[in-house]
Amino acid sequence: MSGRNRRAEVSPVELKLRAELDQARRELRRMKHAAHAPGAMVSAPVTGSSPPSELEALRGEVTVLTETKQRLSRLYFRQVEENHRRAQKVHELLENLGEINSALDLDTLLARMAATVSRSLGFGVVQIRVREPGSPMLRVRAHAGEDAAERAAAGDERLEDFLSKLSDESKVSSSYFISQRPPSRPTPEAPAPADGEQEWDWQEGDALHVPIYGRIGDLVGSVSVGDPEDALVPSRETVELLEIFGNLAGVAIENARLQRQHDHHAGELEAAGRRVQELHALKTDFISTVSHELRTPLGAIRAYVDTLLSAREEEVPFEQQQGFLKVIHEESERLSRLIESMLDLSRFDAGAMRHVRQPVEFAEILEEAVEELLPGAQAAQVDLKAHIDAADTRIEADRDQIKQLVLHLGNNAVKFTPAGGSVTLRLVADARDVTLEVEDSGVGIPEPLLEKIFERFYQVDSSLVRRYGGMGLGLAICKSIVDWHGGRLSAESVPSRGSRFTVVLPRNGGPRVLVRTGPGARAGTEDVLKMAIEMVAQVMNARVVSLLAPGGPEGALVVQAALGLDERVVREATIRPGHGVAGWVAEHRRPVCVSEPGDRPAGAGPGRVSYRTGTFLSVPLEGEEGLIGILNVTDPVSEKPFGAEDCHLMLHLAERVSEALRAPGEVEDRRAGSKDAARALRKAIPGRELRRDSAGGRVALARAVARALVLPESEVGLVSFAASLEGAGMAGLEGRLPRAEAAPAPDREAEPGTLSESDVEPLRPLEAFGAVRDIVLSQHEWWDGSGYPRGLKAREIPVGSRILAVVDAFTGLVAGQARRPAQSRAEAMRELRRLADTRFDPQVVDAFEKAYREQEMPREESAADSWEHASTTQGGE
Amino acid sequence: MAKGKILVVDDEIYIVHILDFSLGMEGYQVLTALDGEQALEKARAEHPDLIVLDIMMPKLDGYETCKMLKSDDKTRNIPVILLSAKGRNVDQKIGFEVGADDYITKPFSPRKLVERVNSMLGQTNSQRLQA
Repeated sequence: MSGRNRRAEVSPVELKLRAELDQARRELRRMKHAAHAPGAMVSAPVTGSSPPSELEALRGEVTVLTETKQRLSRLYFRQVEENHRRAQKVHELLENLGEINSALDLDTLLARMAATVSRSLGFGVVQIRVREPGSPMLRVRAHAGEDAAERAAAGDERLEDFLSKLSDESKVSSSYFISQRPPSRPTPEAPAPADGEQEWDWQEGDALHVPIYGRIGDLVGSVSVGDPEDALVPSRETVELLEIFGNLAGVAIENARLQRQHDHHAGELEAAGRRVQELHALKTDFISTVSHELRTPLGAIRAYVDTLLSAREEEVPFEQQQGFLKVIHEESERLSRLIESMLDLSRFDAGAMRHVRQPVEFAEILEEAVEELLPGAQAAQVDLKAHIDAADTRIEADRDQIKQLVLHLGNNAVKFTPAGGSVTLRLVADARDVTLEVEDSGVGIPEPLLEKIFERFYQVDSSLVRRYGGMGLGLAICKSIVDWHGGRLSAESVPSRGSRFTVVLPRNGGPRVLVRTGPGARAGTEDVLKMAIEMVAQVMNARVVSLLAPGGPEGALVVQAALGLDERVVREATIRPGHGVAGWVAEHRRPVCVSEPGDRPAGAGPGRVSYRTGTFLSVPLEGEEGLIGILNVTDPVSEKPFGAEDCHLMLHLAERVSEALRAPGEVEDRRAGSKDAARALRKAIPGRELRRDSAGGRVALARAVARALVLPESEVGLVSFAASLEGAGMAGLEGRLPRAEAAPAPDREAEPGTLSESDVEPLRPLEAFGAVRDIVLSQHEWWDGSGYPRGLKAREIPVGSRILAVVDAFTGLVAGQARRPAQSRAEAMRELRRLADTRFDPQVVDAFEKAYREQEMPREESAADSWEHASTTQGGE
Repeated sequence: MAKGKILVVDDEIYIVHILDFSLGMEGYQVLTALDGEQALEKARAEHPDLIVLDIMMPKLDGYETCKMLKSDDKTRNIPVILLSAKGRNVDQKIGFEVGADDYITKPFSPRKLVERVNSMLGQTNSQRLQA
């Protein structure tokens, strides 16, 4: 321990006192020494009389002694006074401590503490700094003294900077006195007062820091003081008093943290309790609705049986009897169907339903179902028609389930259509999907119910729904069937005009987005999830995409939605924080790109995820209040490991996905926003599913052009994203616009339609996704300003639109159209060149040529016309 | 000559049919309606002597219909029997609050209903008994 350290252990007054005492002792010694000096001894007895000089000397000594005595007594009294003052201070402190402890919240408590330290211990500056768990910063939470606010502003400090200042050299008790003065100074025991400045004087720049430690000995803050009233370095005693405050503050900080944790847990518990209550209420409602559903046919049966039983002979004519028996028969059938449905649903829930996926002809099933539907429709005087507007309606599906689906939807439509109305079942198909539309001219479904009718519990939630009690479980079963087939089921309605149910089923059950559903799932979220996953798959051109979210036990990650993963994995997989790649990403909130096949994230096994390729991208999705989830992409179609470019693209996508997902997790009005988005997506998507094959090519090409133009990565993401929305931009344009493939007709064979802002309406709620809408809206603008809808010119047109215009033109030219034979790629390229400067941005055309060459070069020989082929068949297999 | 006019209101067509039959056998003239709105129209236009009204119906439910019937001077005095699968006390209470004169829970026996109708209309002797 050096002198500087010891210095602070002794009170400065005491030091002064000791120094004075030493001085007095030295003087006394000197006087004694002078009295016994040999010379003096000799002279005195010899002369017999005291010479005046000796007397003088003695008098002088007496004076000195008197003065010393007075000085000592003054010092003594000062010491007594000082002790008294200290006792008072301690007393005051103790009183304050009681008061401080009564403060409830941390900030009040720390502020009182700082004020007390400043007042009682006499410091001009007091700062109490606190470090939040996990934060690298010590931040001023409370302060007191003159100019405290200004000083506090500069008081925040990085923890590591603070720690680096604390050395054993500067340690006093368990605190640290930081001073700028040179270290080699004399000790307080032997001070060498020099040039007026005392060792114990406080100097500008000095600081005393009392660290505050938490329960486990971690540094949670500090009490820092400066500018002492007496302008002296604080004594050890003062330091120890400060440390008491430090400990107190530590306890307070810990308490506040525990309280916060407690509140958080209590909040969670409360929420869980509410959910349980809600579920309970829903279940009760469910049971009461189901019992109503069961009682209705039972009631009819009882009434007819009762009438027949109590009738006298010949009172009920034979024909009438037959009619009654028919009713009884029908109603008992209805009852058994209902029970069957309930069993189906519970089997779906238990996962016990085993369906067989086999190639079936949807048109055949539809015809069969219509046969069965006709008698009921005729009885209800409803005109039931079926249209099959597709040559090929083959689909891989479970035959019985699909028939049940058609019957449910058909019956439903008939039931809600008054006599004289009509029900139309229409089958359409494209390369990827077969779509069934069931349209009626019935009573319609009120807007607030549209969101709920497919939800089993919610469907019976309100009395409003109960009036439509007949819908019963049918739609919930339809939804389960469609989900199982990886399709999409949606409903639109205009009350009192009619409803339309649309089922989109993928032809091959191939990869489909599976969404974990549960009591916690909210309306609207599911579609957004599906959409987001499909988009990511498309833009990243990957086979497997998954979204994990915290929600399992102890914060474990569970699969929220996934494409290309096994159903069981989606249901069962949980990843603990810190485990595996996703667990690491969740813990560190940093993206990970695994490009080495050796870094396989997980092996195969029950509840574990296995991937075909080792390359893997995992990105955290951040919400306003923390982690929403982890987005993972693996199995790129290219079979090549993900690179830096993919990582950037993925990060931009992740941002958009979090924006879209944030809404459902938050407050009510934002939920409405997500519903809007979901509805818009639904409108934009059915029948125009994002086509993996064609749109994938479009996305890849657009991305390559954007990169050839050296656009910033954020712009590349945006363009890719807009390119993936092939169908969306065209929704509502049919009939008025030369369709997507007609758009590039360079010599305007087709009349340009008018593309107005309202045509892009379906995209409006998606604005969270960025400037995509603008890109879609401006795809038909011409470089020279003669395009539409806004007549933008040159760089006024968003660069994304300029890129898509060229990409689509090229695709259209090589694919050929009604009045225009397909052109070779070379011809198409010449055509683009010819129109550069008038129709297209010449720079984009250059970039396109470059990007296209690079893309095509490697396969030029092996698959001569593969590209054209892909674009003409549009994923026909 | 019919004993009286009864309006039967239910969205379950089979229930309407069997009540039509049973009350018809009893000698009543039966009017039918499939929802609350139709019921109000017919009640105002035809002045039935009694209304048998189901509760759970689309458009306008039985409670609402009953409330409207009882607040209209033209229909206020027509007795109403509410008919529903709900047998809970709370529902009966609501039923009487909206002004219903009687209440029968489904499943019900048409014969019992006919008896109830007879007694409400003071027709203790049925046509059959006289026969």
